[in-house]
Amino acid sequence: MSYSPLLQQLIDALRCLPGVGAKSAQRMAFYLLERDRKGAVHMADKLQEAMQRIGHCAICRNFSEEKICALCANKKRDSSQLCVVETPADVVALEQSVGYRGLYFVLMGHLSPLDGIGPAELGLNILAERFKQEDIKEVILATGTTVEGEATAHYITEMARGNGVSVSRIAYGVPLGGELDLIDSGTLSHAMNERKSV
Amino acid sequence: MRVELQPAYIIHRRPYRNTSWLLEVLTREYGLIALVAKGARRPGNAWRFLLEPFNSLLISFSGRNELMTLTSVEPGEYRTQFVGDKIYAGMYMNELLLRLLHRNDPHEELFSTYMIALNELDSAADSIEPPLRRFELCLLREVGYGIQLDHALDANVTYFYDVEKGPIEVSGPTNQQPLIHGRCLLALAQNDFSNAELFVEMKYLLRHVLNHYLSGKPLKSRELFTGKKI
Repeated sequence: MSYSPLLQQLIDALRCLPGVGAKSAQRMAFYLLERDRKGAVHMADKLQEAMQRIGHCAICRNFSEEKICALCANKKRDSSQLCVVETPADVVALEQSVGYRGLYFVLMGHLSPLDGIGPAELGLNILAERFKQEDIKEVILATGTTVEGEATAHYITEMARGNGVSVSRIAYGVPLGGELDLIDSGTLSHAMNERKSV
Repeated sequence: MRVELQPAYIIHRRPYRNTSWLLEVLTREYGLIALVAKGARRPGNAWRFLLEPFNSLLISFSGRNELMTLTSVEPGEYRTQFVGDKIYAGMYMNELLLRLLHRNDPHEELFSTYMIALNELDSAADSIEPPLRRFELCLLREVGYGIQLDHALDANVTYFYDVEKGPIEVSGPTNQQPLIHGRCLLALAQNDFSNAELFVEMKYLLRHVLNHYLSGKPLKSRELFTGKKI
């Protein structure tokens, strides 16, 4: 079956979403056309507006339509602590579950030279400026526990130490409610090596 | 083709579809191959923590096309836990492999050298230079661009190293680069990395030769070493 040209274009456009193939895109397109044209127009408006207006915060690099995002502009946050994360989703996760009151820096990725991502692509020059200009006492590294995440953490550690900022890394080990025999050996060896006295 | 329990290292991985990885893997007998690890990015997948660069692995895979499917993974002989500069060194080796190797060409000696280099990096508190230089020499040799060290070399003579022709004796002032001391070339020929004074010169020579074969496109991982000044 062939679609009308515009319908085909809509289906192709929807496929840019992650995990959406030809079949799902067709389902979405038909749903919007048959059931929810108003919602679709609203979505199109918001998409248009968001893509035009949302950029990166000049301080933390998180998504923001303001030059400086609300979190960075908040005077009640503790500006002596800076938590470095890989993605905006990490900021949301930390904000929702942890009583952290400091500021953030969002890398939008991790060091991965084989993909062409080096220090400059992660905005680490902006971070270096922050180390110099702001009165940051502690930088908390919350990058992933992958090889790339570790490389990124190490790189930032050296930058921070060069500027006299103390560095900490989030702990990793046994998850809450976890049973030891079901945990992979890598995590378990970390948990054992980094045990703490009680 | 079906291959069981092949010693291997992940060289690179990138996300594929929603839950899979696309892997570039260096294997002992099949060289650099591309594999898809289906479902390996799902939460709780047992392969998740194994499928990282620098882990020694035993992998099984099957398939008919250039892109084959990973069917099982087991931890191999060695466990490396890289920290600091050693991760950069590992990334550097992986970038060189991806840039210079062709897929599906077996390089057993290179595999062994890579494995030894990783273990040396992991264990030694020493300089990272000797394992990297040994690896570079072996890689160049395996891809057919080996450094030419079979000339009659004199330890006390200075040579200009021509990438095509090899070392050429220099007498008198010259602006040709790179200039290498005979004793440095001799040490490389004998695989002797005991004299730390020669490390800078060795690095300089190998970088010059590698750059030639990398067609002028710089290695991204070098930025990790040089960029520390920011």
